[in-house]
Amino acid sequence: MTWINGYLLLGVIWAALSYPASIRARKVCGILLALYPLTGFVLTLVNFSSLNQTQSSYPWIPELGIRYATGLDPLGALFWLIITGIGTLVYIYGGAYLKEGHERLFPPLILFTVSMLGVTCAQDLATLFVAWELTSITSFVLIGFKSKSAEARRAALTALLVTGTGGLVLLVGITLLAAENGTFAFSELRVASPTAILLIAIGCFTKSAQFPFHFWLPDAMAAPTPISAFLHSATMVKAGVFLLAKFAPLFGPQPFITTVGTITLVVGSLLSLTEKDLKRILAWSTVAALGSMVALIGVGTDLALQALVVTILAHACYKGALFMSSGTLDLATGTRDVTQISGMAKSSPLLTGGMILAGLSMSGVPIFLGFVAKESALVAKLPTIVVVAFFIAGISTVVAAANTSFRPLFPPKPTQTPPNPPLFLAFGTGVLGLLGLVVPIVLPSVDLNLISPVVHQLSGSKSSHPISAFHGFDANFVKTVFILALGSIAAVFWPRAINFWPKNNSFSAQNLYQFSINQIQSLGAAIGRSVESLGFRQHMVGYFISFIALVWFVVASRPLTLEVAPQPQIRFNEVVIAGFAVVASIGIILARRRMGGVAILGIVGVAITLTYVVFGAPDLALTQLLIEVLTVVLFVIIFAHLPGLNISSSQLTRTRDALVAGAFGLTMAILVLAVLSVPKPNHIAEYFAQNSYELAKGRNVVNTIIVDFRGLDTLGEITVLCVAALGVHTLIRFRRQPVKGEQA
Amino acid sequence: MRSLILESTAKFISPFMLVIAFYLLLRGHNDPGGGFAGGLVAAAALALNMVASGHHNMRKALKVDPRTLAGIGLVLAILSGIPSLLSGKPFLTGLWAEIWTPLGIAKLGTPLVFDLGVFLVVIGTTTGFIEDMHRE
Repeated sequence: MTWINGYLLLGVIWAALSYPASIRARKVCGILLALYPLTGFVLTLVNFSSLNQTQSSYPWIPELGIRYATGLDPLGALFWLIITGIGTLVYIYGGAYLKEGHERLFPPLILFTVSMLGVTCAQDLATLFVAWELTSITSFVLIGFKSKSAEARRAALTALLVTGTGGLVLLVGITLLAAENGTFAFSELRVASPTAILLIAIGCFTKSAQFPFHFWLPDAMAAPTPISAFLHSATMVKAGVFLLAKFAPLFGPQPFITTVGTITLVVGSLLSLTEKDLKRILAWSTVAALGSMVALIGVGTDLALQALVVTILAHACYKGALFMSSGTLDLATGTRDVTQISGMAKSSPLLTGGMILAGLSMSGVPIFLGFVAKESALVAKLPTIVVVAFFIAGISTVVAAANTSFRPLFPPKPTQTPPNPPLFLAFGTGVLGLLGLVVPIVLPSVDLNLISPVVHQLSGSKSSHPISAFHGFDANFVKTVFILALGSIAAVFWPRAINFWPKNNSFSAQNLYQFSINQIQSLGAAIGRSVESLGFRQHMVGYFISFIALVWFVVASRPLTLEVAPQPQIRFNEVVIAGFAVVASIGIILARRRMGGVAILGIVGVAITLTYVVFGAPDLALTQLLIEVLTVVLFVIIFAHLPGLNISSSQLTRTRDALVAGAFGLTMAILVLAVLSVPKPNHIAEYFAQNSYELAKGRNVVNTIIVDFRGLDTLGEITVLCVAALGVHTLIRFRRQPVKGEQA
Repeated sequence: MRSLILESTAKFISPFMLVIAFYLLLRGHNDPGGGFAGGLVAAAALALNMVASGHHNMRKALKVDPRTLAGIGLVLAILSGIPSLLSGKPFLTGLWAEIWTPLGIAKLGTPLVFDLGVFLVVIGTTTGFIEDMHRE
């Protein structure tokens, strides 16, 4: 087993262990659990030069050519570094941030980490898709962490619906791609039709919050900050960017991807100016950054792809830092409103330093990593429209950076001295902010070992364009200064302008989505209302009549042959058993009390059991008898609570019911006779009977079929049983108690 | 309504029923029986216990929440399929080992673990249903 497969497996076990660990060691669980991503970070760093030894693949569905294949390529390794590195900091932060509920945070968080690592190391399209969907599911659980808040639940559902629908589109796209290439393995893909490219791109757009699927990201800020810092700055939303980048050598430059990315860039950056909530500003700014990355992928030139890689790195650092700082500020001051927080510089040097460094990197001040990213984008000779968009975005980003990093720090002074946040709430911000300064200093080495291999993989070419932290006082530098100047001026005037922004603008993608959901739910409610006034009995009558009609409709078009084979003489015991069943059935209809009815129903059950015995099916008889016993017990328990039987229906209704029941019984009897008249293929039964002892080591064919030959089927059945038990339990035990005055 | 006859009989019979349930589980592979039938007998024993002396006593006997028991059974069933994965065969392929015991050669295999899982699931879900109904 390769170390990456082992690491993924370890992650699953780690997630299970994190539940008791979080309960026992609440104070230090974050630091303890962070050992997992830390190990991953170190492992990836150490193995960076020997990535081709990480490839492995196991057959999964050989008939379709689907394999479970993992392996790291430079792009994957870069993402593993980001995921595990920021993961370490987030786990520590999360452990310190939450006051309680750690045991609900870490298991899904660790599982999410494993899924995300799976997405980035999958080398088979099917494996990738499974991991992709797993990230959607785990992030649903994480976004809805504050499960008591309706807002959080709604946000989680929105995220799941949008990314899930995108996942379906992605599935169609990759199936098409696999069909065109005859293989599911990434390394063997050669061609890609425009349809496949479009479908896969749409799937990536939903995941990475591109226009018009961008609205779920700011709402997902309803999750606690550690989750937002991990999912929505560094990892999950980058999955779409990752996949588009991974496909870049195959797809080539795609103008439509550039268009979508550019629109997202402008929309996101402008919308970040309209928010006062720290996290929402950062969320819109993330949308914009993702837009810029997607646009760069769409352009697809070597220089654009280089800019992409640097942007991914830079964004992960400064966004992660600022998200964590926003949470720390929230805890310290009780609010996330940017207009309310100020003067926090006094509280913690680590936090202040980290925020300032991150803010400078985000604005694109030389020589920070953010500046290097923006420089690379400028150098990349993008189409003019894209450059204009980057300009606008650059100015807005400066304002957003100012709002989220500088404004909370500096005067006017707060009304009271803010408390000193504990070390671990500032640790992540400090480290990531510092990275934004340190990486450009050691840029040549980082470029050689990390960035260039990724760029070579994405562009498919071997040419090298060394990045430098500073290109000299040229035209691009002037543009940078221009952006910084305009941005700073805008930032100064922002507090006054924000008060004029309307609170809810009526036309937006968000409202369109909400409108569609509301319409669907109203339709469902209307259909439900049209049938809910009917009683249970009317429903049953309706079903029976429909069933009978359907069967006879089919029979009318394809006549049945009913063959009643000449039977050997009917034996006396069969007559008795059948007689009991008939008499008992009539008895149930005539019964005056429920208990009596149940007891007589038991007789019918016993009659069926005896039929099984007479015809040689002991297992069935045993199970039938036991179910009968337990059903009687259940009915006794339930009926003890019900009022007496009240027969109140009119003669007419009872006649109708009798006719329907009789017709149903007749139909079923004819159906059974028809089924028995069809010659049965016996080879399946013969195969099982012959091989039961040799292959399955058992003489009881029924049992070997259930437990061995068709074991997967049984596994599905017992899963359904468990779900049913949970459902019954929830329905009965957690019924909403009727409020006084409300109808039950 | 407490019935003395039912209570004393239940106290006497339920252990036997549980033993029979386990016996049914083990013999299922070669004779009528198996996980489903055994689970139902065990659930019947627990139901008898509950109707006779209340669900608190039943819970004390069972020690865990029925739904937890069902979950354990499900996990067991899934885990029984993993050893075959590790030896390169498809999931849930039965692997058997022969063990010498003084009474003869015993054959133990992953389908037995699977059946045990089914056994626990049936007990858990059925007892869960009955307990939920009883508490209302």
